[in-house]
Amino acid sequence: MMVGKVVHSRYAGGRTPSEALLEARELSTKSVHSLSFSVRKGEIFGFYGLRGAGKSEAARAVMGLDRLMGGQLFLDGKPVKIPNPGQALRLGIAMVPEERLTEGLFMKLSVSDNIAVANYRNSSRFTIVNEKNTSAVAGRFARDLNIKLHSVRQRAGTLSGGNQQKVVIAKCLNARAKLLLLDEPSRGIDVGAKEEIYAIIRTLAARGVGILVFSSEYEEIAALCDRVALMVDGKIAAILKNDELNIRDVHMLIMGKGDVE
Amino acid sequence: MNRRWKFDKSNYQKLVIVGVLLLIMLALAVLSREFLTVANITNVLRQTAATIIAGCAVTMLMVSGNFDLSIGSIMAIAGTMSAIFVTWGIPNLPAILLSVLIGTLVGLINGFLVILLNVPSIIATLGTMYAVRGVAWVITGGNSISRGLGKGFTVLGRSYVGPLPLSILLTAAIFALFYFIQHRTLLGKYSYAIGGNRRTALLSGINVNLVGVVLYVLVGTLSAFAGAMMASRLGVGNANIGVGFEFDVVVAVVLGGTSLEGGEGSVFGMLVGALIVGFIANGLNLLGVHSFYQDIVKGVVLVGAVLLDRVLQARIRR
Repeated sequence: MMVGKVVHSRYAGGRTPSEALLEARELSTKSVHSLSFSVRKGEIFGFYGLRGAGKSEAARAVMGLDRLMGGQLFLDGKPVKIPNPGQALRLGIAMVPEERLTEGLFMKLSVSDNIAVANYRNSSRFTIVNEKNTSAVAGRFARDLNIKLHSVRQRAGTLSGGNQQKVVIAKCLNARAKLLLLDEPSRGIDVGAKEEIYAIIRTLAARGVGILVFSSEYEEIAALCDRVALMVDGKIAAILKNDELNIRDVHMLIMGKGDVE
Repeated sequence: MNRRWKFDKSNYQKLVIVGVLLLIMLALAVLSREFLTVANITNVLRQTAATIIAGCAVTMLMVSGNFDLSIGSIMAIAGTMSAIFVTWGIPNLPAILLSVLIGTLVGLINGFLVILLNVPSIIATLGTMYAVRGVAWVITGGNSISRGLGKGFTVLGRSYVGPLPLSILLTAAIFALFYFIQHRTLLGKYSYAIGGNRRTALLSGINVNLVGVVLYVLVGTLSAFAGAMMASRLGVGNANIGVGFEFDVVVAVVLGGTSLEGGEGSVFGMLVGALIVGFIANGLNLLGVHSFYQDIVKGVVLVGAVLLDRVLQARIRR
């Protein structure tokens, strides 16, 4: 089995646990079944499994992209209904989707429009957009996240993969996300930018943002997550703490019990 | 840090199309003495007014990735109804407003069919194109409505405010309004976003359906206004108004750099596109070219302009 090239950065240790930010109880859609998990403020919680194990579908269930067939979500202890991504965003839940090109970015729009799009509430009055404000906000995120660009008016499609991913993250942060879902956050991104993205994720967690990482890269999960849900066939097979992670056991589990290659 | 955007593709495209317009005007000014006169230019502007008015909303609709074929039919029903309302004794202004409201309603039906029932936009609006004009034929019984209209009926299309025709002033106001809406309001931003990438728009919390319906309603409303204006200019309500007009608008919009896939385009480009078409037709008239040839020229110009744009774009994309 192909596992573990080089682990570029190591897990930096857990943060002090605080109250639960999001709790899912028995969440089910047509492709995931009875998912129960919770993520705390400042916690990085991972979903790991093979392709097709239902990781992206778990993210879709939380964002209101797939219709819930059962179960309940609690945000800050209160039951919430999330019928669509718009409602998720209003509640402070944002997603960096797996497919950057088809779901994350507007390639033809400027970087500042991309960053502003999920939250015009703070940069518009009576639906009239304050361009100075959106440019300033974009400029601030570009500095914060070290996005390399000529101008915030530059088309997002002209940026490199890593910088595009940072723009998507900036969009989510600008929407005042207190819970951030990242689906395959480093796919198609070069090694250097990958490290930067990890650093950004850790910084956000340190600021108290709750983070869900959905990934099929073991190193990514091991380097980032405080706890990990292992997914098999649309179900959570186990939830492990970072120090309980063991590549051999984890893979035996997600490949199906006792099935060792 | 802020210099480079000036060479952005969309600005470059605008530069090219304005250049083409100026070139055409220059050529016509050289070829015909009558071309560059106030009377002639005013005349062209009045003739293109309807295209520009409807084009404002159509540009935004097409930027959002949708399409509307029922524009000409909406003009017809609004034009005939504005005349019929007047013959019923309704004063001119309310008659115009009521006929515009009919266009709003047709737009709402289009929006409902395309956005909520997911009928492909070409099919849905092809349907309303036939049905709405059919209604206009039925209502008029195929007759022109000109008796009992009175002088007031032609105010919208023919009157002057000082030296300027009212219709041109209104067109300019609507254009300015839509320039603002497209570039400075959420509706404008969202229409670019939806046309650029529908799934991202959905994930970004944009109410994709609402924006789509609003854009169809705007197209219906403005097309109806253009129809009422045209009926007023002609001094008659006729179900024959605006046959093929939707394609004039689409030609202007596409010449103006709006992509059929959506995501890019501007009302400014549409304005220049409408003027190019208007001036070419006018120039050919002045030069005594038969109108049959004008259609050939229109077709060649449309495809030629889009090809030119492709070639130039490929060249600057080092």
